[in-house]
Amino acid sequence: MGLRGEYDYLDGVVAGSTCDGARRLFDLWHYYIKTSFHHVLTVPRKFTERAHELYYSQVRQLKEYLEQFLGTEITDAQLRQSLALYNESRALLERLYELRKRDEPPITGAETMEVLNASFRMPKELFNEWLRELLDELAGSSLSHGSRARLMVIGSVMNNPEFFRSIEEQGGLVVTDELCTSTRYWSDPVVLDGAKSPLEAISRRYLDNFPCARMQPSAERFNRVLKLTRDFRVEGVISQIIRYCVTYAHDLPLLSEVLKAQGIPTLSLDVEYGTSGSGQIQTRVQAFLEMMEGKRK
Amino acid sequence: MISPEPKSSKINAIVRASRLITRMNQSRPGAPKSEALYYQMLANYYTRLMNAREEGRFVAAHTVFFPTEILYAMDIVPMHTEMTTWMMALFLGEQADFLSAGAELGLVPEICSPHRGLAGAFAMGALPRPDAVLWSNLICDNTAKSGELIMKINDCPGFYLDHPFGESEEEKRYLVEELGDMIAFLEEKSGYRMDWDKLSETVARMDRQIELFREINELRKAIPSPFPVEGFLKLLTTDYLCPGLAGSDCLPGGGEGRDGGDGVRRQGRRIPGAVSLDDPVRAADIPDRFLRQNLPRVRRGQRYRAALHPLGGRQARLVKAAGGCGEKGIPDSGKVYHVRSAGETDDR
Repeated sequence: MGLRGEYDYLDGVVAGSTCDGARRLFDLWHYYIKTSFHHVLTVPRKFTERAHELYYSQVRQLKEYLEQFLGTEITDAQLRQSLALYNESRALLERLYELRKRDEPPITGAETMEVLNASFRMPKELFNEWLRELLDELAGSSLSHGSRARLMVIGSVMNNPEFFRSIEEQGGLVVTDELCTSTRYWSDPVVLDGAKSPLEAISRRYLDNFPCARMQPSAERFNRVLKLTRDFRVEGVISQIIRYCVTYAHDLPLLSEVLKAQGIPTLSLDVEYGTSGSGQIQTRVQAFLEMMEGKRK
Repeated sequence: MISPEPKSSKINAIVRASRLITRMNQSRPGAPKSEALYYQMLANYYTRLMNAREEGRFVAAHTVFFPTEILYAMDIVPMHTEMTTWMMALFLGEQADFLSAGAELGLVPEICSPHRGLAGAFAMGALPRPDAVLWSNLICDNTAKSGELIMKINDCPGFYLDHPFGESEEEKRYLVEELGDMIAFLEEKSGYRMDWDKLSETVARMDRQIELFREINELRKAIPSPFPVEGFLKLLTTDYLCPGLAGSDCLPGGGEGRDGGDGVRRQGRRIPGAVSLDDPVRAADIPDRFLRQNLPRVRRGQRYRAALHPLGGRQARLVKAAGGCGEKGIPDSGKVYHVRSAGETDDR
């Protein structure tokens, strides 16, 4: 789309040195598309205080570059206002996920992904208002979804509700997920207490956030995945690795062992980003559900 | 699935093959001297690795483009995981076995085959069991993620070196401190100490190797090229395995190691396959000689821009050993210096 000129309306692009795929995309973007503003931040792969100092310096620098480019100051007051708005979104999405802990949740995995897609695209003020309405409606409704098994989907980016729907059409219910487009997006609010500035608080949150598979050590991610499986009483995990998402592929053997030790089986699916559930995926999910049911007998 | 039990490695396959090819090249009239030197260098590198456990030496497995100058300065035996795996696969014809073993571990084809293969080789016990694993995001996500599985397979400790993307002062400082932590980790696990003088010498030699690499690369612009692509790959291997090494460091037993140097000579030991100091081609000359043999013509007085880092002292040595910051390698200070021409070098 970028090469076809469909992003001509953009004034700038900001990226992080998160992984080879993302970084090289922005190298190409810079070379071929030449958006007026272009910046890549170094994002450390550790959680140490030293890593936090480096990342904070990177975020500070980005703010300075943006101020120069836009010709305007980004004030602490504006940052506080913005992070309060985003924190509210996060808190509301956490409430939505709380509902999924029920024995028979009032919302499916596919429907949840629709809500998350809205959160990426809508103005936050409007999204928060509509999500509050949805939460009130769900709390007062008698909607419930039983299932053959409570499932969790893990991996990097996946925001096609049809993928979740194809799993749920086989009788499984996705009760939680660990994706860049779900839990990793909304979990962990920005905490101002003890921070030097709103910017430092934002920087700390984005490095300490529910970790991507790129971060070291992987145990940080594995422990949080395990906590989700306990909190949401997950019976099986579906790992979806999108094409060339190397870091998640590397984690899979170790994470599968950790899950297996807790009695949780893993189904590994290699998919193209954006894919819906193909016949092959549906067949494999069916077999996975039958295997889990067989073990219960 | 994963067995921490040590098994007998197949490292001797590389040693045997390298020795054989060395002898073949030495006996072939008109064969390029660089061929014999190259395989001698391989034989020495892998003989030292093969004998390390028996000699009680600390072995560190590391991923590609890792600053091994630091390991050599600490007298730690490095094991280049990608090179070792695939050289072994080449000599033994076991590429499919290593990849199958990687698949059995659960490594999917999204992961590059060198890393699926090396994990498989460790799981099969084909590679020697290291005392520690060092890995880094130099150069890709595969290197950044391969360490923990190797640690698990070998039941050994490890250190991840976080290399920043850019070249700002903050990023250079971050890298220096990461390297400092890695040295502290290695000192704790091995009981060895960093020899800072030796590191300086190694980095200085590496600078000279880089000069030679660049000069050779310049000559490749000639049509027809005086240098085949196979030779370029061998240069790369030299850079991977022996960065900044004096040839005597390739000797099993330490060479200029922590025993005060000349460990092999003083003990009167003769390790089969290692190049003797009495050989016509002196062991101490191998990396330099290999490079110079691949330098068919040198233009006198040719000027190159030096890759000298603006930081000074210990930090500069560490950053240079790590290949600098970012993708461009060591930042170019713009300083100009003269490469020694053929007439100015002492032709041993």
